[in-house]
Amino acid sequence: MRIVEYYKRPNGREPARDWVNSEKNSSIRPSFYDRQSQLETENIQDLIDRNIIELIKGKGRKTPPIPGFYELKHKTCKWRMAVYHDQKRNTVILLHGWRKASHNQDAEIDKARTLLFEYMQGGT
Amino acid sequence: MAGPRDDLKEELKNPEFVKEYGSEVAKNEIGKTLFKIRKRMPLTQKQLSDKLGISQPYIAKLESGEANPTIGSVGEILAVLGFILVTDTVPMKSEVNPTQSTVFVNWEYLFPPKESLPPQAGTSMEITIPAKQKSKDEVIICNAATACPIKGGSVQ
Repeated sequence: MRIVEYYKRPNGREPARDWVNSEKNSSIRPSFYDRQSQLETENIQDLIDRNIIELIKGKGRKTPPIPGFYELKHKTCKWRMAVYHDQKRNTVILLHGWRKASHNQDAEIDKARTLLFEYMQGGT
Repeated sequence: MAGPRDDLKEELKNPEFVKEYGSEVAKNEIGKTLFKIRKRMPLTQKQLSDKLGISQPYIAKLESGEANPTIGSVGEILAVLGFILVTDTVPMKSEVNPTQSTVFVNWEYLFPPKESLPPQAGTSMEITIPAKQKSKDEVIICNAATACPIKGGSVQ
């Protein structure tokens, strides 16, 4: 079993948690908590095969994807959350969540990537 | 530091949330079961969709826990694959002990009729198995209703 936690920025903010708490839509919150439970217990490859998580592509055509940097998905409820599987700590870090729309995907992933680099440089 | 588990504990105090959450968990369990059966066979989603006469995207939706099939249609799908649905329930909890896993078994499996049942016997019991268990002697037997360890309980 792995640990799932919210990423906490140096300024104390937890973007993923803030997003979950801001979502008043009842279908998003229950589906999020069910998904995060699966991150704790299920095999990562199985989650990929079931299309519950998907490796986030690298920025631009020439940049390779970052290993462990995934999008947690719920197509029906139309939300996404960028997460990072830190294998050394056996922990999944919840970085940034958003409501999926065709126009915002790249910008939201860029925000998540920024948070991931911040985490890798010593965040918690 | 509070994590998603702690937040879930708070959310579970809301009856409306509990209903929605229960629905999500059930859909996910069905999806996980279908996925495992398909992998075991092994079949691709396309092969399975041909076998069942339903679309591949719907198979994908079922497996990801996003479809909301009727119990009857789940039974039909499983039957075509050579399985039947057997259900069980566990108490809804927000905490998961990372060092333990839990299964439910029938009393008679652990205590054949010749032996006397422990004082708090019910119709079923819970066995708590430490994740790092090295031998069957380390299995702790608990009363299913109270989750209290039963003194001297062991699996023979």
